[in-house]
Amino acid sequence: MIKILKYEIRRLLFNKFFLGLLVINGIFAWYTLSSDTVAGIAYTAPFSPWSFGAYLSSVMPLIMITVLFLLTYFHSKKEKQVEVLTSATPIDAVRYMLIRNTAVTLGFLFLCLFVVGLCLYFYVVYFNYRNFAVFIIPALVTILPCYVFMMGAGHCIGRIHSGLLYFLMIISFAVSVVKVPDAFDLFGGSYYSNFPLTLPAGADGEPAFVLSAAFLTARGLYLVIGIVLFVISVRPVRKK
Amino acid sequence: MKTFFLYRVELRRLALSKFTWIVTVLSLCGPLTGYSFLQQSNASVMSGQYIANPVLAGTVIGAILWAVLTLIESNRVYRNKTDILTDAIVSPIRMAFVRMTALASLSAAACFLCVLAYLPYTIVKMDYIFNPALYMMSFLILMLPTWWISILLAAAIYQIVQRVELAGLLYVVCVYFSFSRFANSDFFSRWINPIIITYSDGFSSLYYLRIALYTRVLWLALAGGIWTLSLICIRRYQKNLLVSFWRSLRKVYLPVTAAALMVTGIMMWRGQPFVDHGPAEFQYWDYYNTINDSKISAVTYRLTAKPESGQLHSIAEYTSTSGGSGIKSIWLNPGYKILRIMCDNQPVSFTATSEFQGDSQRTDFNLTQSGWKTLTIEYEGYPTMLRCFAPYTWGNEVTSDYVSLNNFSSMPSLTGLNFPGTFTLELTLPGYMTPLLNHQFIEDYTLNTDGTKTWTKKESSYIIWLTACDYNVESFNAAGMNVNFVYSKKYETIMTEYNMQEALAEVLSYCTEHLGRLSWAGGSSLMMVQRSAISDGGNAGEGWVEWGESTFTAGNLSDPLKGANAAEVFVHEMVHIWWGGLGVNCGSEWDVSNNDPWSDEGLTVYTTYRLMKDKYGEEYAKQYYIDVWQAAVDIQERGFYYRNPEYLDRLPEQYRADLSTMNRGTNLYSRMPLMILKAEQLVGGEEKMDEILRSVQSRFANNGFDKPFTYQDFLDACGLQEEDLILD
Amino acid sequence: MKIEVNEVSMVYPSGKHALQSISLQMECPNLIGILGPNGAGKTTLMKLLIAGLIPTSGKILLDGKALLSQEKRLKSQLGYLPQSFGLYDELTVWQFIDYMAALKGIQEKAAIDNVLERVSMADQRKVRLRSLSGGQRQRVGIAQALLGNPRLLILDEPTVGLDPEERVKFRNIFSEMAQDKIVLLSTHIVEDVQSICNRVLVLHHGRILFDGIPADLISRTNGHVGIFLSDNGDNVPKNCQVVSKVNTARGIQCRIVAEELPDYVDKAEPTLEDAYLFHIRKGDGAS
Repeated sequence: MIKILKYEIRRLLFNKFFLGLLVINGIFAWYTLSSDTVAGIAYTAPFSPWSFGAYLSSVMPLIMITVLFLLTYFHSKKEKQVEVLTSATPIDAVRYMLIRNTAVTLGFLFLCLFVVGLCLYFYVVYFNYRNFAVFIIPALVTILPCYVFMMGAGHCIGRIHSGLLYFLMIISFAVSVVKVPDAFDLFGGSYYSNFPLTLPAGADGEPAFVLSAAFLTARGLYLVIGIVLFVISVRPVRKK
Repeated sequence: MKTFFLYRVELRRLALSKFTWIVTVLSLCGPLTGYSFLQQSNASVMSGQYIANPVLAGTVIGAILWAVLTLIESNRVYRNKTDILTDAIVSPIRMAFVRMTALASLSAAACFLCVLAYLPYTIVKMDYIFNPALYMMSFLILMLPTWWISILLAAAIYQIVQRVELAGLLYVVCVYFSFSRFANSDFFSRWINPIIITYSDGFSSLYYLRIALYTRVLWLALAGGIWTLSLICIRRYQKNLLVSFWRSLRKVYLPVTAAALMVTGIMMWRGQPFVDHGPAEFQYWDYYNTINDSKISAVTYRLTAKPESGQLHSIAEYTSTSGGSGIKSIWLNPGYKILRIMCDNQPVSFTATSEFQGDSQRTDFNLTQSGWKTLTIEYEGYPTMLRCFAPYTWGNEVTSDYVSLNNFSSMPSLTGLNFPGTFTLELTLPGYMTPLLNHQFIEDYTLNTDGTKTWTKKESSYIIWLTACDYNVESFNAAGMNVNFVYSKKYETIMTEYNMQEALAEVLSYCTEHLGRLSWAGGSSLMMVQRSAISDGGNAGEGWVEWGESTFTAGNLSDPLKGANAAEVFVHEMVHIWWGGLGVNCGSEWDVSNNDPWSDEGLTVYTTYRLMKDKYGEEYAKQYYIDVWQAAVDIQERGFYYRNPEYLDRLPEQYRADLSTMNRGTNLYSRMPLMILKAEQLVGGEEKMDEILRSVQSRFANNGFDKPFTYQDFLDACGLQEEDLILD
Repeated sequence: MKIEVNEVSMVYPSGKHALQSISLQMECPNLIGILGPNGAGKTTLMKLLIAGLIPTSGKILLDGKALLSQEKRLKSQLGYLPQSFGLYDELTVWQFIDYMAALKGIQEKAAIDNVLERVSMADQRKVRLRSLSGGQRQRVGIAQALLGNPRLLILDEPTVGLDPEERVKFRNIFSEMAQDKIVLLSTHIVEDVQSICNRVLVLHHGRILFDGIPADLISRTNGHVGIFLSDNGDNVPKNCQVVSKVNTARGIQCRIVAEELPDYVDKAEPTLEDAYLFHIRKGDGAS
């Protein structure tokens, strides 16, 4: 299994294309930090959990597009040609799919660590801020539901036609710019920008970092829907 | 012939392809987004709402769609593995050329369909404002060339990288760059979303369209060059990029054409005539301080507007009894090219320098002999906009519908020469235009044989504001003044419908009653002038006030309860003339890092609030003024850097500058009015404040920058200390 | 190992009847050649045997039990080479075989080296797959099928793209493997079947026209193959199929197969190719 994972990582991540995507994500992340995050979101500190969450929300669309690019490897015509060979091996189809998706997940985590690392570096250099523990909750709440939902949706759509994954990329970009109710923003940007304005300022002038019930419910829903879609998509298809 | 035959085959194939039809239909729908959420231009003018915004939205969406189609079609032979077959019949380079021209043809057809599809709706909504030439030009200048540029770039990227997903990604990066803050204010970087700040309903919209046309040609040259270069990169003989490139270089016409196009594009970029090439930061004028030794007895400026080319031709003539020798300098807008300098009919050599002050660039010339009698400077060109303020203009336009020249934008300033108190201006304009010089009419003119008119005036101020248009003038009396309300004839219907004359008279009466008569407003006359949306917003000075045409659109004027916003801007700007002459600004308006809230804006906003309270009641005034100010100040004080200014000092300068700018508007337009309101409460009420402000007017009017009305003066007049007006 | 195909039919959603009630049995050792024109149902049969398709009707049994319920057991003993397949071009030859070995649960590196040796790709182990020619890619495909010494080897057009020397070599490998395995070989090259197969299946329009030893197929064609000379090669008798036309000094020598040969045609000793064409023609007439 480790060997298969190793090869999948080599194929998906050790190539110029992923490196290029990594660079583009990095440039965009720094641009977000230096234009939006530095000003502080909703009048909070640039290094508040709100600002950090908003930063992640801004960079997530591009990260998701990167993940969808990785998924195109699974659903391309080329992959279907190789699948003729791999499907004739005794490895369990579901386990095989999970191993391959682990490679995608590792790529995603690497990307996330990279952009988060950039942000933490930004905080240390410009604000001398090092209390990174407060960022764990916003990171989990922002990143996890997005990723699971996109993976599930991506696999489901990719099974129909690989070209639809590019359409999903456009959708993912459109979702980030079109206004939706704050709690239901897939990437969470609206919530992080608007909800703190409704909260009273604390002793230090900063509103406490709270996750509203509506927001948590929506995140949970995205998570569940993503899991369901993913489970549906990893079932092997046998033609009748 | 073979190429034409292939073009016909490819055109037919693409025209029958379902992808092409999907792209065409979606491109037709693209402009719909411009009516609502994808608005890139000023929507408060009808031309913006119904022409500029839909066209700009359709331009971007269509460009992306046609690029997607280009990528799909470029990849088709490789996807279907028919490249081996097709390459054996037709050179892939020729095929790429044929494909490109077929896509360009189909996109042109789609653009034409857009023109037809939106025409009826636009005519109905815009009614008499509709300008068919503007409508057509918008599509042909903005939309179609941008679609072609997009097709060229997409094809070029694919032909270089030969991977459709990588090409798509790189294309997205190019699109993103055009929308990013790096290209935000730069006309020439925005290849997919050309800058059209605004159109004008009543004047001319050619200003930004001319720039857009230039940038489209520039980018067509650049994209065409890149695309031609990419033809050389098309993989041949199963070889990689470098080997294919090397082999295809033998087709010498390709690299030569590519180089020619790219060089053309680059030179157009570097030599662009619209934005000056001066420094990024504004340089204040200080050449006033030069010692002037040559006494000039008479000055004549002969300005001729050439609306067809958008240029101004001018001859400045200086007469001296005995002119001095030595190096002299001309400070002139860098958009003008000095054609010749003659001294006593002898040519004088001159050298342009790289020094900029304000909107002027210095050119030096040396008068070798003293005792000269006449000095003539002839120049021609088009005034550029300042780089530090681009893409916003200073209102300079020379078009067949409107001429507007501000400050030093039409006449040179010379150092080393001592000027007389007046000069003669001879201004030649199309016959249908009425000029306003420093917001006054010019009485004398002669009719020329070519239908133009030459207007002549003796003028005392060397800082001229010139506008000319087919104006409508309404003259009326209000508050003991003769008022001339001057606006574009195209607005006559709206002005009559909303009874603007009566509304203006009302404001004049109120301010005269509460602030005192305008002692410096030419005594008994007042000019109120509408100006183009291209230099929108308002302005005021001695005896005159200007409003941008956005104020006068039907949408704004039909809702007087909108509050302190566009519909009441004309009131605000008119109130400015009571405060503008007191020199309150003291340069803070130009220094964006200065967060001092004291300026004439605070006094003007407060006075406007008082008028609205008088007109619409206390509740209205509280809702749309006091509460709005307080909300803005509350938000400002919640800001992290307001609470923790020490963090601001640790940031790099660029970040600090950006963040400081965010506070400025609140300080000027919200914090200061609240402080004045507090002063009103402390001094004993509105009547007492009116008394104080009337006394301020009479003491400081017309002092200008020599003895400006400072914040301390205001505190002294109110009998208050600085701590008294700190907001809770 | 024993595989039974009982009255299996396969109808695709488009309505095409790929297989019509076919039955056959296979057990070790056997080297079975499947012949048939395009669209006969060869590939469909193979896909059914690797549990890649579910039959519309009928059953396939592996050692007496339903094949679909023993999919993992089947695939652990299966080596499969499809007619068209892809490779991960970014990997090297060795890496790809290693990857396939991992999928098959094979840990020993020696197994990889062994199959690469057998298919003469050991020297190109470090070459990226995208750089390989068509024949080399085919050899890599064969290599992955041979991994793990499978008991059931299903090969669809395995010698396509190989030069004659390699074809002979691989035929010998398949023949060697068939000594204690089931090898199912689908091909258009009749010579391959003739050389090594101990059993031949002729498929046409989804039916089995013949199932038996090659010699029997040939003997059934006795008296139905003939040769005659023609001036221009056009005067072929009706109801005859031309197998070959050869220019000779005396004219064009035509070889034909037919149910009934004309009198002027000299009877000839049938070959496997003649027999195949004769049965296919008969099958066409029957359908």
